Amino acid sequence: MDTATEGEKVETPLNGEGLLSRLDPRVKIVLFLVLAWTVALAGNLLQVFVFLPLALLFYSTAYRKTTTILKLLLFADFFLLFVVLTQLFLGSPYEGILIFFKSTVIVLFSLLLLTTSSVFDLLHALHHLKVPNKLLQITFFFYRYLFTVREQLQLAEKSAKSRGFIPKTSIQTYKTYAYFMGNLLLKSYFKSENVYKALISRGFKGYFPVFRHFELRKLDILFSLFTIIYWGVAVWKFYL
Amino acid sequence: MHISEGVLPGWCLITGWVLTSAGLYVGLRSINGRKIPRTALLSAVFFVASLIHVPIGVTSVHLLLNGLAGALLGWAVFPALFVALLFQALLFQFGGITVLGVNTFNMAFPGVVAYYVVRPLLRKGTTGSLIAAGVLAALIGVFLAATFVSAELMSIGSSFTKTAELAFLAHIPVAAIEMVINSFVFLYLKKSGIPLEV
Repeated sequence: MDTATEGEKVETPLNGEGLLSRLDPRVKIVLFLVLAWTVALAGNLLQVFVFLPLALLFYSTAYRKTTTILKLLLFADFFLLFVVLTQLFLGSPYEGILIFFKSTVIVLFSLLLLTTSSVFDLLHALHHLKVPNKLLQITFFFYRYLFTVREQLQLAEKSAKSRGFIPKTSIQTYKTYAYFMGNLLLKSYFKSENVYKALISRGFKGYFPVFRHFELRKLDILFSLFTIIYWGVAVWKFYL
Repeated sequence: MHISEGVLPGWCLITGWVLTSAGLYVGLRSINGRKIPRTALLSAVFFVASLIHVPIGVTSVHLLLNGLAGALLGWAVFPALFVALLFQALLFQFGGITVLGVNTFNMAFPGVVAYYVVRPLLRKGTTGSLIAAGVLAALIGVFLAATFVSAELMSIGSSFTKTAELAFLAHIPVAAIEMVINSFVFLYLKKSGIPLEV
């Protein structure tokens, strides 16, 4: 029996938030890729700062989620903190600051353009953008059963704790975690067999029928035009 | 350790995407039918398991598990870890999209190497060979990934030498714990009777 319950689903952090969530995800993915790659290729602070007003404009549509955005920006990435701090104290402070702003602007674009759509809509859009179907099937099944696997791990941890298990630096602790993982692998192996049989019995041909289709609207076209003009002028004035 | 957005130069990001695309091509060709949901579910297991805080001394670490994933999945480790890293980028903003190619290659290629080295030991199936397989999968998976991350950081410029050294050193405790955990996982799976080549 599937143990997943509605309401506790794993979902993108800003799903359904603000004006940008109403846009076609196909448009948002393409624009995100253009903007993120441009900032990723920036060689100096000016080339990064020119995109900051656009990122802040996007942010203004989801200002009600400021705490979530700040948390994701400030605390989510341990690696960025590590690079910036080592650069500030042991390497080149300019490089540290440049990397900090490049990363912040790209993550803002990612949060506001990608994560304002639901995971399912993003996967559906990737199908329209010609991402290989087999890869999308794996992504979809991964997402579909992620919650189930997570819940199984939480149950195993709860069960171990109720029997007096306290994680510490010991072989016993590592053995317990290894058995958690072994158990998850085993359960998932058998679960995947059942999923496969269920798919075959329902005549699955590799494509998921969808109820709602994307439609390019006036708002999508206006948003794309505005963003592309902003990008074009920024690249012309600051990159070329 | 996933490299963040904005850290690496453009040529490095593009090379990462080219290598990962090649790996994905081979990986996706190797899976069909029942292996599609299986790869997806095992990918979900590695995603969830890598979020566990495993204690070591006064701190705790997250495991990479790329050696273990590679040993079990073979070339399918490329799509499995690509999807897991894509979701880490989307849900938590760990890593990122432009750097997804590099991060997938850093994790999945050592997994493929581990697969070829460890597979004969798993087929042998004795307790000693399974423990050796666990140790080797951890050493290859973690240290090869750490070497890639450090080399990529060094390629940015001389100011990144210390950053690269520290990034490499940070992987040592992870490798130590994974050696123990991988060995126990292989022993557990052997006892349970499912084929170790999934």
